[in-house]
Amino acid sequence: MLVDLYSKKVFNMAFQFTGSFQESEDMTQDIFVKLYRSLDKFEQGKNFTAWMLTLAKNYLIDEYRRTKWEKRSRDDFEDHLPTLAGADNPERGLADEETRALLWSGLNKLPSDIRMAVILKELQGKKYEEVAEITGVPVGTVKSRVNRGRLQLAQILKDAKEGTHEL
Amino acid sequence: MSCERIQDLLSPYLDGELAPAERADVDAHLEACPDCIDLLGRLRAALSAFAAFPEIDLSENLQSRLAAIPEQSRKRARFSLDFFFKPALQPVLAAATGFLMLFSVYMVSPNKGAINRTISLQFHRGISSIEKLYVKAGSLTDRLGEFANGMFASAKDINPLGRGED
Repeated sequence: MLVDLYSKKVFNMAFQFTGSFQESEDMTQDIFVKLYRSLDKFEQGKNFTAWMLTLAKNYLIDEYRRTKWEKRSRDDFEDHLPTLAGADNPERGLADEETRALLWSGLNKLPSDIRMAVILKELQGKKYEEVAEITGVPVGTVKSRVNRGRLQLAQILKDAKEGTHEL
Repeated sequence: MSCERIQDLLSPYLDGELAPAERADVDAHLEACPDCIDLLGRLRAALSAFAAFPEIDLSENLQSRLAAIPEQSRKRARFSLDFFFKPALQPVLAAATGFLMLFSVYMVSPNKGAINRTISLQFHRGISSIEKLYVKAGSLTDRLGEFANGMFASAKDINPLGRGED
């Protein structure tokens, strides 16, 4: 069943993009309602996962533009994401945790197209070609967006290290 | 190679997508540039942290909400089809089909002017017929009124006990 196969992926994508657990639940439901209504538009022989993630991406970007998410804050990192064990090296574990928290809040500072490219590439583990198919832009554009996103996030890590970044 | 150029190349460098010569240029720059080495370290830390981001499980509430969607969609699809197959709707659909066929013939006909004139004539004839029927109905009402008045006048003259003849 579609829900069993793809719900976790779609929900995580929405959560990573919006940063809000509650809104991601509502959006995941909306995306699946839309998906079931659009199934007859899927062309046989095409990549269904890419088609479905394109539908989810379009929905998320449309909602982002409609509701001005960039002005909202993300849920606290620790509220929903399990902490790393770090038992063998607690100091290292703490540093990794801090880095993850900085990146999580830093995602909100990326423009929507760059944020989506970074999420698909780094968090959803897609290849550049797959991200290009989902977002409907050339591979070169995806690479450029991912590069800009990475550099912005690296700058956020640097600012935090120097004490100029606020979570 | 400038630091700005290196910044553009660090992503493909980390992805292993640089040609050997370009990779050697980046390596040479990194050996001599602490800022770019620092940036590379932060990029590596970011990618490593992203790779460790866990997937979150769905709440039970969301699972049940999602599980209901396929059935709701089926019901919705069935309802929309059922509506068109309702027996009561068949005459309406047949009439609509007939109208659309006539309308199509009218639209493609080269003699639209003649058809327009015929339609106009028939329309005005219809109006005249309705007008005549209305007038007839009015005169019938008048006659019925006169008949009723006469009947009431006659009824007043009737003596049901017949005492007047005594």
